[in-house]
Amino acid sequence: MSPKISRRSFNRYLSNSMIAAALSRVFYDTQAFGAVSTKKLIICMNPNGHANFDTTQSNFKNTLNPAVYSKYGQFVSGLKNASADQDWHGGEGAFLSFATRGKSNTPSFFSTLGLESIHFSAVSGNGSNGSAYGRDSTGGALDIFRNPATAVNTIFGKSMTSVNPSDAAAIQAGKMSLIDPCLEDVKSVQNKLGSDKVIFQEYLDSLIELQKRTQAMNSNPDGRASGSTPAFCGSTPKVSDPGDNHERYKVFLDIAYQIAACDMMRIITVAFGDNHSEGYHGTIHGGRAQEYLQWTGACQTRIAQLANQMASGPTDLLQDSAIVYISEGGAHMKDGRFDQGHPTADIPCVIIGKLGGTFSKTGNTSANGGGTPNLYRQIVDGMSNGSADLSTLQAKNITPLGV
Amino acid sequence: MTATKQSWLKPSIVITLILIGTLSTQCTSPPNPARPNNKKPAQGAEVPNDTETDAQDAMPNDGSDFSHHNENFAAIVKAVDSNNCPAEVKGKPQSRIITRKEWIQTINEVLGANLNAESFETNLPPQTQPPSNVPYSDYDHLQNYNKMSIERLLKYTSANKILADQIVASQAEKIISCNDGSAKACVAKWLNDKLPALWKKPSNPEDNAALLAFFEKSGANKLGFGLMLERILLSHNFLYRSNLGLSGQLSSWEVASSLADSLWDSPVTGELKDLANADGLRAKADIERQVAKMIEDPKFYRGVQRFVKAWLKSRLIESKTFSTEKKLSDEARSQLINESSNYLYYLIRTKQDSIDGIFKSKFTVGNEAMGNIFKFPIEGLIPSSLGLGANLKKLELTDGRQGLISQPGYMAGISSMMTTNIPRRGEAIMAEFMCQSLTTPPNLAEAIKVANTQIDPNDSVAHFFDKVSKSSPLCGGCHEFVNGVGFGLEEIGSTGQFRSLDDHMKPVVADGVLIESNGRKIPYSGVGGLNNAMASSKDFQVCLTVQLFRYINARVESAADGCTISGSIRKASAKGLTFTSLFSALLTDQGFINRRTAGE
Repeated sequence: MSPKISRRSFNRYLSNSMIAAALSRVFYDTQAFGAVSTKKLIICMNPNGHANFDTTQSNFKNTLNPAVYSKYGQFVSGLKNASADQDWHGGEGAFLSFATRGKSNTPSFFSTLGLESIHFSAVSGNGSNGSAYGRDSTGGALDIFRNPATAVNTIFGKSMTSVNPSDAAAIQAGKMSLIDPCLEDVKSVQNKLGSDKVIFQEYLDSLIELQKRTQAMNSNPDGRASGSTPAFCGSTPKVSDPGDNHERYKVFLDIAYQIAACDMMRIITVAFGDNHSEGYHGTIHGGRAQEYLQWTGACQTRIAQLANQMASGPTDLLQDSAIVYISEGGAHMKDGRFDQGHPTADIPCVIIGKLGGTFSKTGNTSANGGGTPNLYRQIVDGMSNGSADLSTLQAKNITPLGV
Repeated sequence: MTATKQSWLKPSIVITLILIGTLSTQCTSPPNPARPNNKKPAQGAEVPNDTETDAQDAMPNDGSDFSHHNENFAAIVKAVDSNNCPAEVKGKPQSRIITRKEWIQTINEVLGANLNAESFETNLPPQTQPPSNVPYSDYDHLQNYNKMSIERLLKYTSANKILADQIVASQAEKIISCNDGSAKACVAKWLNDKLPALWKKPSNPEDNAALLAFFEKSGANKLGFGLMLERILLSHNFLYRSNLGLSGQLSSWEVASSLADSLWDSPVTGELKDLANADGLRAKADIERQVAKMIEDPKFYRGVQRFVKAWLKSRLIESKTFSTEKKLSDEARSQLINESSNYLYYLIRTKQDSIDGIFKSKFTVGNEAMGNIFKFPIEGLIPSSLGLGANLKKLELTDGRQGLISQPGYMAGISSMMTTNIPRRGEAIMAEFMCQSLTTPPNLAEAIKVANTQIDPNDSVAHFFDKVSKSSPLCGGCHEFVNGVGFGLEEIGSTGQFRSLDDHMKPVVADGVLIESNGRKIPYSGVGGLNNAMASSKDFQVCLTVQLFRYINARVESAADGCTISGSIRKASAKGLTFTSLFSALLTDQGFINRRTAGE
C-alpha cells in the first residue's frame, strides 16, 4: 500500500468549502488514499453546451496546474453529439449511449462494463429521473443523488466488511439458491403465455445475468481487480445540502474525488442538471449570454480544480483515471454572436487523464468527424481491456475515437 | 419575417417562449415503425421494423418513440364514432414491475415492517418517471418505462437482504415460535396468511410446499426464514403486477390487485383480500359491485389523487421556481399541488363529476390562505364526511375563471418561471386534455431562426406570437395547434393570478381556438371560453378515457384498444358520463377482464 497522505499536504487538495472540510475528516480515517490503481472514469457534464472550443480551453488552461495541463489535458474539437439529429433538447436519456440518432432512453455505454457506478446532479430538473443521463442496461433511469447529505451518508456510511473467500463462497451459494427457483418459476409461467412469453423476458435475462455474475464471484470472491485495496471509510461526515446549485455542484465534485481516491466506484457522473432545468435552460433562450458564460465557465473551472486534486496526491490518480467533460449541446458563441437556440455542432470535450492508457494524446486534438459513440467505444475498450460484450448495445461496429 | 440576431454582449430581448419546450415540435410526423415490446432499444442503427403481426403490440416501447401517438388517438376516436366493434373483445396478457413506492407500500402494509422511503432511498431502484419530452403525462408505473435490468435486480437483491435482516430481527422469532406446533407449521401458517398478498395470487399448496422445503433446507430457523423471505421477494410474483388471465380471464386476485392499485393506490388487504381468496371477483356483476363499493370508500381519494397528479403533472408546481417577490410558502405550494385532486374528489363526492361539472363549476377547493392569495371568497365549508381534511373550503372562483383549466395551481404549473409561455401551456393542454402531441420539425435550424426573432414589446404577447408563427410556414401550421389553446389562457399569469395586462404589459388578448383531431375548430374567448369549448369536445371525452386507460392498465394505448375505450365511453354515457362512471366502465370492460390465452 502506498503511504498515507499527511494532513498538511492533504489540506492543499481540498477546496475551501465547509463540506470539503467535513469530508476531509473522513479521509484521514481511511487507509485508501494513494493505494488504488484501478481505472476510474469521472464524467462531468453541464447541460446546454458551452461557449465554444477556445473559451472552454481557456477556462481549463487558466485553472489547471501547468504540469497537469501539459501532461494530461486533451481538448477535442469537432465532436458530434451523435444521438441528436438536429436538437438535443430532452435527449438526456440517449446522450451517454451508443445511439446514433434519436432521443429514446437507451442504455448508457458504461452499462456493458458491469462496474459499480454512482450519479450526481446538482439541480433537480423538471424532467427529474425521467430526464436522467445515466441509464441502466435496459434504458431505465439510474439513481441520482441530488442531496449531498444523502450521498455522503450512503457512500461513507456504507458498511464494507472484509469477507474471507470461504464465507464469500457460502454467501454466493446462498444467492444461487434464491436465483435458481425464481428462474424455474418464471420459465414455467412463460410456457403458459405462448406468444406473449416475452412479457417476462427482461426479468429472465436479468436473472440469468445475476446468476452468471454470482457464479463468477465464487472464483473471485472480493470482486475487485487484483492489486487494489478496498477502502474502509470509518465514519460518516456530517454534510448538509448547501442549497445553492453551484455550491452543490462543487460538493458533488469533492465527493467524486473522494470516491475515486477511495476506489469505491469505477464510474462516476456529475451533472449540473438536466437540460430542462428551467433557470439555466432559460439563459440560452432568454439571450442571457453573460449569465450563461459565467455559469458554464464556473462549471469548467471547478472541473479543472478537481483535475488538479486528482493529480496532486502521493499517487497521481490521473494516470489510471480520467475526467471527461462533455455536454449534449454545441457551441453557442459563433462570430461574436450568441446562439439562443439548440446548436449541435462542436460539443465540448475535454479529457484530463490517461485512464490506464485509454487516452494517449494531449493538447488540441480533433474528433475527425467522430461522435460521442466513438468516444464511448474508446472508453469501454480501455476500461475493459477490450473484453466488454458490445453485442447487446449494438456497438461492435463503432470504432474508437482515437484520441 | 427576417430573423434578427443581436450581439451577445448586449442585453437581448428575443422570443424565448417558443423554444422552451415547444419549438421542437410539429403537427405531423413521418411515420416511424414502432419497436416491438420484446426488443431492446436499437443502438447505432435505424429503429427496426415492427415484426409483430398483432397491431396491439405496435406501440412505443419506452415512450420516447411516440410517433404513432396521434395516429392511435385518431383511430380510437374513429372507433368511438363508428360503433363497429366485435361482440367479444379480449385484452392481451400484461405485466409490469411494481414501482419503488409500491414496493415500500406492500412491505409496510402486508408485512407490517414500517419502512419509510428514506430508509430505502438508495437501496431500491429509483421511482421512474416518463421523460419530459413525451406526451404521456407522469404515469410513473407505465410498463413502457419500467423495465427490469440487471442493475434493478441487483438493487432489489440488496434491498431484500436488508429487509429480511430487519424482519429476522423484529418478527422472525415470533413467527416461527407460534403456538401451532413446529417451526415448519408456524411458517406454513404465515405463508397461508401473507403469501397471497405478496404474490397477488391465491394460496397454492405447490408454492407453499416449495417455500417450506427451502425454509427447512436453510436451517428451519430465523435465518432460514429470512432467506425464504428473500426468495419470496425476488420472485416475479412479487416484483411484477400481472394481469395474465391465464384461464382466459383475470383471476380474482388479478382483479383485486388492479382495483386496489388504481382505485385506492394500495396493495390488496382487508376485505378485498378475503374476497380475492374466496375467488369472489370472477363474475362481471361482482366486479361492478366491488368497484362501486371501493369508489364510495374514503380511500378512493388516494386513487384520484394519484391519477390527477400524474395526468396533470402536478410535480411541475412542486419544482416550479417562483421569483423572489412571488415566492410561495410551503403550505400554499402544497395547496396548489393538490388543488385539482381535491377539486375532482369534491365533485365526485357531491355527484358533480360530469364533464360539465369538471369544466363549468365556478369554484375550487383549498384552504383560507389559498383563497386569500388568489382573492377567492370562501363559498362554504366542506363537510368532514367527504374525507377531504378539516381545513379545506369551497372557494368561489372570481373574474372569468371557471373549471379545471383555470385553477391557479394547474395554470402556474404549466407556465414558465417568469412568463406564461403560450406554446408551452398549449402543448401541455393539448397533450393532457386532447391527447394530441407534436414532434420535432424536419428543419429545426429554420425554426430556430424564427424563434430568434426580436420581440416587439409594443405588441401584446398573443398578437406577437401569432404574427411570428404565421410568418413561417414551417412554424405556422403547428403553432396554430398549440398557440390557439395558449392564447385563451393569457388572462391568467405565470403565478396563477388573474390579470388584465399580459407579460408585455399590454391589454390581454384572449381569443383562442381549440382544434380537434378531425380538424374541427372550436373558437373561444378567455379561460371560461376554453373550459366551455373543452366541455363540448368529443375529443376530450375520448382523451379522458384514454388517460384513465393508461393509468389503469399501466401502458400506453394502441389503436387496437379502440374497442375497449369506445365500449367504456358508451357504457359510461348510459350513466350520464361522469368521471367515476368512466373509471368504473374501464375496470369492468370485457377487454379488461378477458385476456387472450396461448395460441389465441
